[in-house]
Amino acid sequence: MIKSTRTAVMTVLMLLLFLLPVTSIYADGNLLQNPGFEEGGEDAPSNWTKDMWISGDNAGILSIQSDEVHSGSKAAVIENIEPNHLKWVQTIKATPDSYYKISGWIKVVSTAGEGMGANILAVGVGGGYPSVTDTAGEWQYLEYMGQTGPKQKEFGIGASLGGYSSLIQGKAYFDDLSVEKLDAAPEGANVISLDSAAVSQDAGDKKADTPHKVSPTKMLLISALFSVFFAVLYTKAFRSEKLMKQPENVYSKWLSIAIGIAFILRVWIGLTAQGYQNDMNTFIAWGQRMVDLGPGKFYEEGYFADYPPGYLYILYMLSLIRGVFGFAHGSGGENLLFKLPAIISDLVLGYFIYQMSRKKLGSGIAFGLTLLFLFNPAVLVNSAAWGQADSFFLIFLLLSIHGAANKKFVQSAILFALATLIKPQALIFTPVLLFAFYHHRAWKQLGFGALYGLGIFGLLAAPFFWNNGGLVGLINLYKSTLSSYPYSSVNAFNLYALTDPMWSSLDLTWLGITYRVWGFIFILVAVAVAAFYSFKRDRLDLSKSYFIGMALIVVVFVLGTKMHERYMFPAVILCMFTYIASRDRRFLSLFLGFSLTQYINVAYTLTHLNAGINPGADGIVLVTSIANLSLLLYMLYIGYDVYVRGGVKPLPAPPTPEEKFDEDLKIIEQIRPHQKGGRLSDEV
Amino acid sequence: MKFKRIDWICILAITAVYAAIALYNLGSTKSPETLWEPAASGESFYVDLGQSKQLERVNIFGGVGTGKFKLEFSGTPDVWSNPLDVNEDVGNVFIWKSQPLNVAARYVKFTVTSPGFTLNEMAFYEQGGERVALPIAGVTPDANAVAKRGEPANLFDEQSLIPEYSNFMNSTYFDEIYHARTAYEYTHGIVPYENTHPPLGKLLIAVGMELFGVNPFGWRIIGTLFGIAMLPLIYVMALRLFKKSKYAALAAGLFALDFMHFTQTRISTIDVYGVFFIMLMFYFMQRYYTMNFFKQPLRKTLIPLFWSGLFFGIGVASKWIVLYGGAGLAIMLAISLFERYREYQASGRLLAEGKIKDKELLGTCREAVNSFWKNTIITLATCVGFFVIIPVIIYSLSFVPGLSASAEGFTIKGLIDSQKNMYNYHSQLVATHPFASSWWQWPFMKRPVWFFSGSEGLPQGQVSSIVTMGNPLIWWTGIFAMLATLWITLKRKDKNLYMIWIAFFSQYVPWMLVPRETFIYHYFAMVPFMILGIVYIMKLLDSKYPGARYVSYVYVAVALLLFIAFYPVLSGMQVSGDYVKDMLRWFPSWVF
Repeated sequence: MIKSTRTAVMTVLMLLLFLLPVTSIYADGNLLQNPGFEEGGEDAPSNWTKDMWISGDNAGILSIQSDEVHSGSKAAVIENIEPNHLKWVQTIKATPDSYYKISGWIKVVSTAGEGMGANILAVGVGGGYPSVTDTAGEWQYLEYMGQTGPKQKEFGIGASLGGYSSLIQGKAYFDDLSVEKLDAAPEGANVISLDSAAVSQDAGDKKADTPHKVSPTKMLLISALFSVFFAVLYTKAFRSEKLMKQPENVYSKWLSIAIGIAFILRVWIGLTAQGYQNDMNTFIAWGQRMVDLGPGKFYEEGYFADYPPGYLYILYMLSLIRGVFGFAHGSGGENLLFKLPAIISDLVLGYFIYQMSRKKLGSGIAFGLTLLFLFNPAVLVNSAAWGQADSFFLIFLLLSIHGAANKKFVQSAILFALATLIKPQALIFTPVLLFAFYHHRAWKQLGFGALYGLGIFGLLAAPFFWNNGGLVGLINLYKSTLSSYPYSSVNAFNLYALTDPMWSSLDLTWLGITYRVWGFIFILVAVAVAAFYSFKRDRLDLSKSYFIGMALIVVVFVLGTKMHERYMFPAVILCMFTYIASRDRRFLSLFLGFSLTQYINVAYTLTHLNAGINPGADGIVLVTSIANLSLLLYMLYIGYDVYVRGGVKPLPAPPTPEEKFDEDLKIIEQIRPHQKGGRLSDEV
Repeated sequence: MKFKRIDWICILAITAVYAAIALYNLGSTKSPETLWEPAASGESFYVDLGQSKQLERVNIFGGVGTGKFKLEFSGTPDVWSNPLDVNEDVGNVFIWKSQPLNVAARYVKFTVTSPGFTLNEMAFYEQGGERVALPIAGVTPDANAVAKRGEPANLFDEQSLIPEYSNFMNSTYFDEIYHARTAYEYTHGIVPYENTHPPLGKLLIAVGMELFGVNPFGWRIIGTLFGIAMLPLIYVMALRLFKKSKYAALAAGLFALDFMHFTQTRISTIDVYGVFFIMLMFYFMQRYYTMNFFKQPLRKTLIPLFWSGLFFGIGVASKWIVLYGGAGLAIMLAISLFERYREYQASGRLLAEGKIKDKELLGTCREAVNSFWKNTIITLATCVGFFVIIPVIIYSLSFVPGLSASAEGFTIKGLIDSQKNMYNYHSQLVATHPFASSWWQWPFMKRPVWFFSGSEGLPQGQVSSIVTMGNPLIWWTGIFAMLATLWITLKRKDKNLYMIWIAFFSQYVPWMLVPRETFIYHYFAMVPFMILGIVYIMKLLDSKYPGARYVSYVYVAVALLLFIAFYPVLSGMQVSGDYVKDMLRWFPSWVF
């Protein structure tokens, strides 16, 4: 009896299974009917209606076909022959104030024009849902969340090519659309309103999820503040007898106070500002790995470590210190600790500026310049906010170029080797040293320098590669670092932020040439520019070295590919030293320019990254990119004027008593009452 | 500054010609005004069409308010069938809308499902009836019903005013559905629907409706008159800045030829009022700026400050954007006082050094030293009165009509709640409008806003559109002229011309920072100053290159040609669709 009952039940069940259609019209939870376009004919799929912005067969075609399908035997196809907005639409009954997940599969054949691409339309809603103009020939899944309005009982969904007043040409396939009701609000997702009637006028009724709008207000205020500070120093302080002619010990006292305040400021920012957690965590992890595995096993196939060994020693020490103090993981103390090398490097660089400019410019101006560096937002955002180590690297790079400028070639080479050991970007500055050696025929020093430099390099790198890949491993590390992030721009607000969106593929072409090739071209251009300034006029004048270094990094950053937002950081201090070496005041203005663009580039990117997105092509990015291009041209022009034509424009000296008297007299003449009978020019 | 005869001629000529163009086809002067506002659900009436007709559609001119009603049809007035639900929503205010019908009936019953709406006129059309309204034999209202306002017969008493087709001439378009409606509500004691902008602009619209009636001409005329008045105003501003009539005429002429000035002043919205008062307040601040309380009596310098503050207050009561300009005013005041400070310091130093022999100069210095602090403090104190107290009073008073209509009347709490509501609205407005654009896209006119698209009654291939955008020549050169003005005036220390870029940037920069959805017409407030910048550059070119005056003639000629070419899509004139598509849509993002 049991056997036959079981058989009977099984048979019935199997029969029932056969009765179910292969692709069900009503998917579990899917509120759409005929979501895969399986039912109905080629021109009239069940439950879907056509909607064409521009109608007519030569404007576009909505149809069903069987050649390209995602599942089942049919899929929808939309072809916009003219720029158009065509959609297959279905209206669904809904409950008010509920959440729905809307999704589907799209395969784009091609699109042309600037309009919204292929998307799963929320009828009546202008935007906010994802769209795609290129799916690389594959079926791509799109989804988004929507919320119905407080009185909304239905909404429309469409397979759509183009958007409201956002027309596009092209062709795309759509299949397996789905609308599912969610029980609760989805976590963290961007929810758009499906209520097409309530686009503008609901004041405070619905709690609309504001999309990630990163506000530039604080960043612009700080930029304005720094500009005012600069203007005051430039126009007033540097021309003030009182401030410029103090005795030496007063300036030393002021310097100590300034460094102290700069340190406290950085500590405060380091603790309160949200750094780039990704980088911070990476540093902390590497430090821990150094402690756990030691240098010999640090680099490993598959483990992400794109830094050369130099800074890893520092991270190792920081990790040990962290252990000694017992900072908890993720604590503010740990964050601050790992920002400390950069913070201290900032102060060291400030001190360098003072010491190296005192003799030439006078302690007064030297102190002012130090302030301009210590309280520079571009410097603060890099070390104290973001948590990167560019300042540390910069110490070695700066000392290396300083050595070259002062003909201490061996020293220069050694420091250069150390700089390269810390960050591969140092290699960009190789021409500075090579030209210096060449002009002074310093072959012996080149030899010694190379020897010592490579020696120290090898010595410090050895623990990492001795048993772990050897020389080949070391070279491979540098090669992979230099070729990583193969994109036109990695959040650098440069030329490529203007031509195409940042993060465009290197194989995309601009003016017929791929970005990959443009990158090479502009590296050659950078070297040619450096050579131009080095070989023109006075070849033996090595004080140009700072300018040449700055020119190299600025050309490479503004015109080169694969640049990250922080790569132009060296330009800021190199510009300062170019001013010190040349005494041309235009370099000070350039310093202000680079400080602001670098600050805005880094700060804006940082706020975006912490919100989980990259900066897009908005006004701030575009204006900063244009500014960078203008500063590049201005820099080349000043360099030409100073180093090729020999025309220097120094800061005006403090005015003499006679000059002051004359100026005062001129001011007072303005308010002298007019002669009798004359008319005041501003009376009606 | 003395007005010469040439000035009068130029002002009158430019103003008159522009006025003629602006007032032409502004809007119909006749709209159905008698109305019916039912009070409760279930109220009804029925109409007798005289005999059974095959009904094709019903045209309705909605009044203020929203609600729902139902139409039913029959051959006899006792049994009804074929119900049709009609939703009178926000988009129906003061617009002729058409509902298609497909039923034969002699009687039509109208039942209120959800009250709150007002209707001004209705008409039925039969198939084959050549778009002529069917005569109404009788209207039989529900005997017990007491309407809030009017009676059902009012819906059929102005049938001669019914236009054949609904378009901008007889209906509201774009945001007029909000602002013209709110203006009407202010004058009729109804609680206003729109509460996202301060009231004064809408009160000014209401003045037009009181004078000329509740019709398109009535709700647009005041704004258009303000737009016309902007021309003599910019003429006088330019004359003060550039001293020569030629440049004043250039400024007024270019402003008259700007597209956005034309369209924004002919639509019944409130931007025109904000911009007008911004221009006035900067004009008077410029007057103050060129004065000097060491040379003129202090009280004389306070007069332009008073006017500036007054118009600032009136402006803020019209639209909040005027607050941005207020920052620019503060900057100008600060610069002016700083100049006085420099003169004060110089005087002090000269007196201390004792090297001056000139008696008059000595007296000047002593005067300056003695009077600086007194003058400055008095100036600042009166500015608090002019720029804070008076504006607050004007602003608060402007809310009286709107708040009085509400149940509690005009209370401080109501006033403050209104501000909170407005602020919440603006800070939470999320970008989903298809015609929105961001601040950096405005100078290049990436996305003009399509205000009106004609759909009814246009012959095949013809279109009628109203789009708002700038004159391409003026706007595209304008942003560069502005940057050049900033650079050159600073380099040459042309302090009297700083106002041009202070006004421009003090209004532009805030738009970079607000998170809300923005549109190209938010740039309107910067256009007059942009034009002043263009004229400044022309003046500079004239002084350097003798042939430059031909450049300015050609410039104006091209601007004029562009205005003529685009006039159809700025005014809603019926024109060939191909012309618009081929000649005017220069970019794919220009959709109109």
